[in-house]
Amino acid sequence: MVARTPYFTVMAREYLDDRVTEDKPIILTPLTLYGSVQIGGSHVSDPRRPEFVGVTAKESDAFNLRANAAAQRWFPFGSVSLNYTLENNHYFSASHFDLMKHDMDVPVAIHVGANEDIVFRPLGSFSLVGGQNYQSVVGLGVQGIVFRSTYRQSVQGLIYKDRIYPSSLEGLDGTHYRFEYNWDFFPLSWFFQVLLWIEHQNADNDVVNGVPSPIPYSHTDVGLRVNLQHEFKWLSLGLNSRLISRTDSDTSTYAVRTTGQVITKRRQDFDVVLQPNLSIPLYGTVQLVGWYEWQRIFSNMGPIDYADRNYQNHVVGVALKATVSNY
Amino acid sequence: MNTWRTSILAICLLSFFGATSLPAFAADGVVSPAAVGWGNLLVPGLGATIRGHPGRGLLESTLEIGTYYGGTFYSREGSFTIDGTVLVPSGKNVTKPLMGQVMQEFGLKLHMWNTFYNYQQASMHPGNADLELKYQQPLYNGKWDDVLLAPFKWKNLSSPWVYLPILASAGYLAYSYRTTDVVRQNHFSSPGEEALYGFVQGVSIPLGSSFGEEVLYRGFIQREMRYYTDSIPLSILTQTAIFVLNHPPDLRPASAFGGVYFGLMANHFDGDLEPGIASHFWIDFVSGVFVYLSYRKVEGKKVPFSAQLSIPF
Repeated sequence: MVARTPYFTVMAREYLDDRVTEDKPIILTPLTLYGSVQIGGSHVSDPRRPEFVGVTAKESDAFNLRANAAAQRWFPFGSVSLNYTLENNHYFSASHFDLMKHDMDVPVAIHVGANEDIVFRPLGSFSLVGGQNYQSVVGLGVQGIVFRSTYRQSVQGLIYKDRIYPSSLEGLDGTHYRFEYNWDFFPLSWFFQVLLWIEHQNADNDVVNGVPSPIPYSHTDVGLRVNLQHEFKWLSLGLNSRLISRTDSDTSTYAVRTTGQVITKRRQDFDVVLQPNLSIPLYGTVQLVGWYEWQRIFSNMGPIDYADRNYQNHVVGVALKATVSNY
Repeated sequence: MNTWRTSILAICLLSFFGATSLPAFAADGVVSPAAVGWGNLLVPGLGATIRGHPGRGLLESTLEIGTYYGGTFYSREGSFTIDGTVLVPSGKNVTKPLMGQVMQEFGLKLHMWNTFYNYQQASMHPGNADLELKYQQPLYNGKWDDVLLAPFKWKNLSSPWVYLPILASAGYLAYSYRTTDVVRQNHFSSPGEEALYGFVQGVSIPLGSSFGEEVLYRGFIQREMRYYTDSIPLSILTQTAIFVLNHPPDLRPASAFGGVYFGLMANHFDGDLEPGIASHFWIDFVSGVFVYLSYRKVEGKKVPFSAQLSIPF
């Protein structure tokens, strides 16, 4: 049960790393409740979302809020959970890129072996950018999880459909097929996560009434995320990294801006994120967290092409995080 | 809702019931064969992973997903079918689309085989021996080479269950080939392009169909449905329904007949899938030969018969 609850594993790590010294019995009830709130501020060099090409945004200070609420009901066959996450970023100098995002999923976990679960995970999300409807997502995930003494491995397939509301981005609508392979290792005082994924998007509007669009959006992403964290007695240090390679399924046909010559070219992007971070326990379940994030998208679609897809952003942030639970 | 999403939803529902059908407490290392099969069908690599072989799971998924989505880089995509999604245009060079089709065929059919293989291995685990006794349809315990060689074994070919449908479909295809009008197209394919077309129709599709489809639809889905419902007609109809939904619309009537017939064969031969594999392979092979000849015909090239046929692309 401890291994099958994400919040219990966090608690167990804190205890094993001597960050929690007070012994308290865990209250195991059929309903596990958990919540967290993170409130802070950051400085962002480019608040623009990368898909909004041709729009500029001034660097800005930001207010950041992230809240999470989760309930997990245990049954003899497994568990049923309800998870909700709210994310709000308000940019003081670029409010037209303010983000308000709601995520929800309802995982139904079924024990298929002593240490193996299959999870059915209906999910949905809705987000607004600059106060305007931006994106809605509805989908279903199926996940197999293996629990071992020092690690947890999961394999997940997700199919979801998204709708992008701004008319300038409607070509991005589509059905996504995503497959994730994840390993979480828990050596003493360390946490090491590797996530590999491949995601294919079949865009809705690449062919309209039998006529192929000159700028198709169907593409395949291959991604790798590696997170490393080391726990010290008074703080923990971490490094999160992510690399995504995106390749369009087909070539785009367009006129080069400088010469007017019509060419065909297949879009390829590399999206890199590096994020060193630290967290310091302050009192009880309250922590001070700080991070720096560098994101860079290298694209073969540059200033002379139909859109410049290159992007760079730096973020420095600090926040207070508090958690509550019924165990 | 399109048929691809309908079939995914159907498989999700079946996998949910399959996963809940196992005993509540299993011994260490014993996992539900149903969960392995249904889970792997939806997520490549899942079956091997929960069986305790994560390296194999990663290898399976890399090969299956890599070749399947790699195939999308060669042509625009259409709707999902059991043989892939890439569109093969008419009147143009078809080398790249055919390469994409071969890659998708490989990825899909390998996925089907691996789904069955992991299900088979989980079923054969000694910890599941008692559970296995409750299954009405015996488990097919052939290996991958048994499946590949099944179309060439005399014990399979000599059965009237196998050669009669091959002869009947060959007769129908020959009649259709001779009586259907040709629609000529302007493209004149190169020898390499034509050879690749012949390979796809005569080797890739028949081999993929017999290698992956029989073990998945008749060896896994039909067997599981028989266990859930204790009904031969329901088990055959369920696997046939999914089999039909995964085919393009113009092939659905034939695939409905094939699904029922191959299902009856699996039942008649007590779970031995090899006669069905042999029959499926040779029917698809004969069909592939006629499609290949039609491809030459629409380009105005010489063919062995004075044939008339329009082909769907």
